Amino acid sequence: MGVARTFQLVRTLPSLTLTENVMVAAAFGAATSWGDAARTVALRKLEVVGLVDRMAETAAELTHIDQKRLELARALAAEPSCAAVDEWLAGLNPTELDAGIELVRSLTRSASPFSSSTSRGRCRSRLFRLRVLVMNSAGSSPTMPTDVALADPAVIAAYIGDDEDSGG
Amino acid sequence: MIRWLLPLLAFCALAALPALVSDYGLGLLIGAATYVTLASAWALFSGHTRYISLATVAFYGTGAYTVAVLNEALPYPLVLVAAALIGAALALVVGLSTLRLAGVYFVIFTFGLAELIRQLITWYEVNVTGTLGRYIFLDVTARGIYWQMLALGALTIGLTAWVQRARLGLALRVIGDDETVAAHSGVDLARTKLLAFTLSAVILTLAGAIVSPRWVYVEPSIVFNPTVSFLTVIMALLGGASRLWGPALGAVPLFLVFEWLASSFPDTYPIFLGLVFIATVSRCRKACWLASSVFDPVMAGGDSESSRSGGATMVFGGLRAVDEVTFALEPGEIAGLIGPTARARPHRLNLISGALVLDRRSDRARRRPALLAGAWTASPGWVWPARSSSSARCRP
Repeated sequence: MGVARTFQLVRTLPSLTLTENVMVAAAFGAATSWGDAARTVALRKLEVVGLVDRMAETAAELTHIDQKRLELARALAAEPSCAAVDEWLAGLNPTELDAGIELVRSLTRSASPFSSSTSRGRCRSRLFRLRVLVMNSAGSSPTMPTDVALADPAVIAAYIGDDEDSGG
Repeated sequence: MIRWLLPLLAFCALAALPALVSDYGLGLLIGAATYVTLASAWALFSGHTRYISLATVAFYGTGAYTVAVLNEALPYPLVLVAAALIGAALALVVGLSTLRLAGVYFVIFTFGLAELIRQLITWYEVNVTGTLGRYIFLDVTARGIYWQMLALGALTIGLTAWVQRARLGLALRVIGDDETVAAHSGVDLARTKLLAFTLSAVILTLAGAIVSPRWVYVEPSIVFNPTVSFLTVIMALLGGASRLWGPALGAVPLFLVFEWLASSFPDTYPIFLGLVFIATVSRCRKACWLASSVFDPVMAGGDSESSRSGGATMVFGGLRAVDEVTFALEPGEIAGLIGPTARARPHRLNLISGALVLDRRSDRARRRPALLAGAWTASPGWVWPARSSSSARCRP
């Protein structure tokens, strides 16, 4: 099927080097490779997210945004047809946010097999200008452009609560 | 080239050693080779996955007992094959039932397993066969035992070297770091753990089978001695359980120390054994991932990146990160702490919250000993500071 994911709270493999972290996905993912082939995939993905210079460091040494980059590289190394990126922008400061958004954008431009999903980050989804899939237990799950979704009272009610809930 | 040549030469030298030593020396060689094999085989599974197994003696004793039962019924090579098969079968059963357990539950289960097997055999021997002890009469010389154990040890280290380069090795290390990530990356958790556990168990069983003729007389309380399990863990941890030669390097000196203690202080030996255990675990924190993963969540990486401090100054490499910082906070005041590097801020916060103290003597920051921290924060006039982390650290 080929779905790769990142985690809302980052989960890197702290005792492994960056190369090994990314190789894991190449070695055990859908398009399985090993040895030099897996290493090549890993280095290419590290280059995409801008970490190739630090490939020999262990993941424990990375800062928060770099751990997120690493996770993204790992997700991409599985060569997925769909990447689920769980709140990838959570916990970033404004500068990192810009860099993060630009990075994810560049991925969707350069490589076709990338669709991302962020949840809850409303203004961020708007920045991405994506379609959003609104999950609401009551109704069906329509997809719509972000701007439309954010103006929809039903969506706001589902995510923030309607007047009765929040009144008080 | 040298990576292959050096171990090969060492192996040949070790194989020639029995010609030069006395019977007592040969006994020491056999013991050392046995513990090198046990520690390396233990680390083959536990070193990378960080599943601390105390079942070493369950397999080791099973191997010895297999020989005791079968030594008159089958030719020696077949006895060894039988021991290996029994060890593998036992490992598969145990593995299937335990590898879902993690952490301390796995440790306790494996410890219980060794006791269970010992009690089962005791019960069976007393109630069914009517004899508790068994004799092993085999035409195997001490030298023969040494050479077999040496070969098994070499095989174990060779196998470890191969596993570390193979996909299996990477899978084991990923499991050791984070099982959830491993599962989401496509690692087959059950198969990987079971394979490594079984490989390790077969070697442990064979080690028990090979060394058993040394005992001549065998009964469950002798061959299922739990100290063997603990020694194996301590040896592997001392040398570095995730490194190829680590378990061997830890096993030899510790074995010699224990032998010396046992012969010099036969009555008080267990006391020294306990002291050596404590000293090993508390002293080798850097070498042991056990300690570093369990007790070192905040400073993981802190020690290794040589965080130095003079006064309230912290320097990373050439970068002076925290330089004589003092500040005061009024009640209700909010202050921002801005640091140039991502590493300086957490350390500064740790210094404030008291997780780190500045050791002026050695000129570096170190973690506050837990016991002292309690007394220190309880001292009058102390304001309790709390911190959150940039990556959330909660207890789920």
